[in-house]
Amino acid sequence: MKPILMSSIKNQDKTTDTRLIGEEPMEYTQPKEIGAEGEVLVHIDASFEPLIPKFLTNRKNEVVTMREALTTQDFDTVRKVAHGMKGAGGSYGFDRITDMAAVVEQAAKTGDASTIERDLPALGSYLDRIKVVYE
Amino acid sequence: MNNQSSGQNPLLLLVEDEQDMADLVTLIMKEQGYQVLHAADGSVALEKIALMSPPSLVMLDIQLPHVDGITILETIRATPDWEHVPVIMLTGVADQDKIRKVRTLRIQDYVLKPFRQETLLRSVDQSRKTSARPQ
Repeated sequence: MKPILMSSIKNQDKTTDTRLIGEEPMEYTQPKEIGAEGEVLVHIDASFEPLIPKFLTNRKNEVVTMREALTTQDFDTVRKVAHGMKGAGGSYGFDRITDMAAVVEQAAKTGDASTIERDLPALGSYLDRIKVVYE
Repeated sequence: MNNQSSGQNPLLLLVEDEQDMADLVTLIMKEQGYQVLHAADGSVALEKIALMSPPSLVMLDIQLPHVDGITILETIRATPDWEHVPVIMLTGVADQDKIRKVRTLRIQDYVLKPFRQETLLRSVDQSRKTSARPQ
């Protein structure tokens, strides 16, 4: 049998996820740029442009979903939504979304409502301030 | 005979329940010349396996509604004509037990979400050079 390749682990550069199995998500280091009126400039692959408006709208809707879930202490819904956001954010190039969603996901796992109450508005505010620069 | 050997563009079966992730992978892979068939949950994926000719490549999430990715992978490996199709697991689950399990089922690679486009394409290249066929 030919060997199983695990290139996603051994060949990734430092901007990609180099977790070993079981490790916690890495800390992303995407540079932050502040534009006019508090905008956050995020540089995104131009080939993704057709998908970005829907992607950002969906993330904003998910923040609403998580806020509503939190009102009923529905941590499982918060965890699932945050988990999906964590995976999608960085894949599109929005590493900060992945970072923030990871914190919310972890808080939901432990039923830490105060952290979620603190971080969801911050996540919503961040999404509202994103200005995408295609390159 | 799979789709690749029929002279058409290679066919990718993408099994992914997160629509934004599916849209992103579809965009990336279409740029690489693939036709992409998307199954949004495990039940749909099992129907595809039962009814269609094997694709050139399968990308498979582990956590899926209805039927999980490991069950789908087991089905692929137990299905004549499909048993040697290259499979790349796409997963946000850094779960050692699940990763060990899928490795026994002759996956070509796995990619942890979030991933970079380059990581995904490198995995595809590696997988196309490898085969799930036993030596």
